[in-house]
Amino acid sequence: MKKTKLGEFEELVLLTVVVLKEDAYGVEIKRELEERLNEKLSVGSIQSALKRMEQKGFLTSKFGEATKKRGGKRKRIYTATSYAHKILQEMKDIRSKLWASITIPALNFKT
Amino acid sequence: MKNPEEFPVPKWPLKLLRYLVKPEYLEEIEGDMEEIHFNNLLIYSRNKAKRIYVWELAKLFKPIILKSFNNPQLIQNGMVNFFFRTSVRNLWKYKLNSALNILGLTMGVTCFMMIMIWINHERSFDGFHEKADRIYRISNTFTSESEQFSQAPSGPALGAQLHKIFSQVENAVRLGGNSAQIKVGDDNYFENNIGIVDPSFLDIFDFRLIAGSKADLFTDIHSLVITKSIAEKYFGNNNPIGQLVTMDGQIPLKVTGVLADPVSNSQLQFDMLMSMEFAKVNFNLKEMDDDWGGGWFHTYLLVEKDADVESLEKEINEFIATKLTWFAERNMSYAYFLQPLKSIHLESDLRYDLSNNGSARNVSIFTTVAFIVLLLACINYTNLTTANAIKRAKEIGIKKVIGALRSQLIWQHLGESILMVCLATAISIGCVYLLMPHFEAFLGYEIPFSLDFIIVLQVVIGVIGLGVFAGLSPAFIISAFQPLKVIKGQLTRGKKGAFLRNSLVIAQFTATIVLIIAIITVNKQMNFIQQQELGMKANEVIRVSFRGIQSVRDNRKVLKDRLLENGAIKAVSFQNNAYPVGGLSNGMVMVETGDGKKVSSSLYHMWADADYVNTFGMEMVAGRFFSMEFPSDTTHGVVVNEAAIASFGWGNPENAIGKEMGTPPNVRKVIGVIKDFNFEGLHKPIEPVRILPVANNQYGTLAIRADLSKPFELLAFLEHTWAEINPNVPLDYSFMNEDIQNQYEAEFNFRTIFLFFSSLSIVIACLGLFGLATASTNQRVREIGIRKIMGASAAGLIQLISRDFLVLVLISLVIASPIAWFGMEQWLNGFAYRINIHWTFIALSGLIALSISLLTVSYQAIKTVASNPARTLRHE
Repeated sequence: MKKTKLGEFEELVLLTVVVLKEDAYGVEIKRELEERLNEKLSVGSIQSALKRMEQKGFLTSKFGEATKKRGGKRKRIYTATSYAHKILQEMKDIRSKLWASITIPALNFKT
Repeated sequence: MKNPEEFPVPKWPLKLLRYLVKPEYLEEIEGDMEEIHFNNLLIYSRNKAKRIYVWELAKLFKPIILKSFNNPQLIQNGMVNFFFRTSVRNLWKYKLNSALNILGLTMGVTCFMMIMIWINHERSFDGFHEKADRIYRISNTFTSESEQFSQAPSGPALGAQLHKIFSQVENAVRLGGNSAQIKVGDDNYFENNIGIVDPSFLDIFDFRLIAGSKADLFTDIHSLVITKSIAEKYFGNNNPIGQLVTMDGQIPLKVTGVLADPVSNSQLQFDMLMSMEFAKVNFNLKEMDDDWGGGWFHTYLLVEKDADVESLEKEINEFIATKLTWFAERNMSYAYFLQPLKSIHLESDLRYDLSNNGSARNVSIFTTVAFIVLLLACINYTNLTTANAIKRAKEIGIKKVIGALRSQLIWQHLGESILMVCLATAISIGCVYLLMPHFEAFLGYEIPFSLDFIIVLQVVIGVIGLGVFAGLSPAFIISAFQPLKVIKGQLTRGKKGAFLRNSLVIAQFTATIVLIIAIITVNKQMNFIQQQELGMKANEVIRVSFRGIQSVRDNRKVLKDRLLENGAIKAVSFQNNAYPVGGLSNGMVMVETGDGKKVSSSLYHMWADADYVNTFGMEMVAGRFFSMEFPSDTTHGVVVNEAAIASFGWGNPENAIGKEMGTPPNVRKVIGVIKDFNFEGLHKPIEPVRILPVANNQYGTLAIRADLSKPFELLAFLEHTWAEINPNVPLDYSFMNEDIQNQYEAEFNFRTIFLFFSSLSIVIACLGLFGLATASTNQRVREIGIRKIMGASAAGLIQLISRDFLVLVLISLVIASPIAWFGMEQWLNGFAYRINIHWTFIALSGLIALSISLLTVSYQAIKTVASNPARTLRHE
């Protein structure tokens, strides 16, 4: 699959899944991402990104525990596949190199 | 703190969620939504949490999350793909059938659209005035001891005073007509379409002012407001405002404004407008504003919003009755009624109604025709498709075998129908676009067409509806084919299938036969009218109008003598208001009826000289016409027509001679009775007329009866002679039979349009018949093959095939006859002179229908019969 097939939002969701480890389920992903982005997100957008990435092979999932809050319905815990990790790393490298090539002083941030 | 357990997830959104989300995602998503809702309840109010839930739900509407509503089987098996491919293949494989279908549908839809456009136009008259719903024309019914009639114009006082007296009437305007000779620079024009109006005209009606200021339009009594076409005609590109023209050789008029040409769907049509004040001053009518009786001007009232029109009508009648004492003393009365502006064009049929009125009857006739045509096209489609389906039986059988559901097949065939209708409609739109200019040229006016959303929506709905309607029964029938039977080739020689198909053929034929009978009837009626004895020799008459110009009057004798020198000219007559085409004016006179009562009667009247009867080729049935030998005729003679005698109850014409008319000192005696002649068109019976001799040199028109076999020579002579004797007066002439044609124009148009569309439906019916015959004979291909082998002759076989159809045609004939008869009777009753529906009409139409079916069926039969039985029998 082409690297550019991974959308910007999807990449963010994917990264959040990696960050959250075993806690990576719908509500938690939404909360974490909303906090980091400082924006409101909808359940629908998160869910559709998750399902799409699952179809594309970036994620796997399995049922987790049920809680009272959820009226007894189980969560779905998402995990990034090794293929996903590979792609994420490659994208990170490409981006770093691009940033490094920028010579305009104003844009040259210290990392 | 709220206990979240007491506020569960909102019920209906949850139900919706469960219905819409894919089952495999449901548990997770429902759980997520519930968890979030729970969290929200801790922070927000209950209502807000609910709203957020619903919002989130809305945002879940993404294709990847929602259930798919197609039959999973359909998608999984790639069935859709297969259906699509077979549909396209079908369209192509059965080219002839598809073409016939589309052709029939296209014709039907085109007809329908064009008729609907015209009907829409007719029904839209006068809707463009902003205040249209508050504008009423006040017309009246006049009753005297001897007669009663309704007329459109009312007395002048109404328009002058009603709005000052009644608070519910905001404004009023009077409209009168005039014609004049207008001189612009060195050019002379005759204008017949001059409106004389009160200044309130543009306050009530919305005619767009292109130049000039509204407030100043009629301040000067010599103002002239012209339309854009007139402005271009008179002044070209120059500014018309302020220009001077001369009316009737003497009166100067100044152009104060230019209006956009009145649109074609306006009952008010005019070329220019003049001020009512002008008429008052110049025609000596200074006191007319107090004259409540009579029928002078079309009067329109603007009533206030939500006015109670019925009670206003009553109040007006009560009020005016108090003003009409002069009439009441003579047992005459006027009953006034208000007509809503928009209803006038189609529904009003009064004396002196505006000439461009249409007829609600014609509109309904054409609506019916439009729907019949469309229905025919649909029946056509249904028949053709069903019949053709037999050919596709194998394809359908196999589809069923591989697992297509019946519902899928139905949808597919419905889809095909809609597709065909769409194609047909697209082509129709193109056809209508091409045909409209010819249609408009024929009608004589433009039909403005604006494409707005509503029309597009109606078309789309119409197309889909049509597709469904036409395609419904084929779809059902086809999908009911049983695959085993189909593949085995045992398909429907079944009774049920035959019954349906036969009923469709009968329906198609019935509609066609009804239309044929209608065509024949309409045609004969129109011919009848044309040939009607008008009571005068209209074909030989030329009329010259000189509008009372004094010099022409003075040169009468000279002109007459010179004209008669020409051998082709047989008679010359001078008269006033006596042209028997286009309407006459009427007036009151005292008459003693046959049973001795003295009544005041309102008759049409005209003024003629001694040569009148001879010139128009009329006949006297008793007594004599005016003559130079009896000078007392001028003051004491009057001639009436047969209708007048009947209306007065004077018995036979001989008795009428010597009867008196009028009040002393203006009493005249009847010196002759003239045979009825038609001056009003053949919708109405002939009305009473009295003819007076022209007095005081008040001549306005000249009529010439001549041998018109060499018209150009004659006209040249006329122009030459006229120019010599009346050098400064332009020649305004017309041929009488053309004038009569114009009078009946509406009828003739109707006939032509009707014939056109009916013929079109017959063509559509033939197409359908052709297709049906094809299908039917195809079914019997093997039967025919066997019969041939057994020794049947070609002729015998053709007979066999045709016979079935003929029975159907006969049945259709039986059904169609009463329907057609009834319908045509209704239509014919609208004419004062009408034919009777003869049995030959029905027989003739039956014959036509039979021949059409024979022709089409035979063609198919011959083709089939000529086929090689070895080939046809092989497929088993």
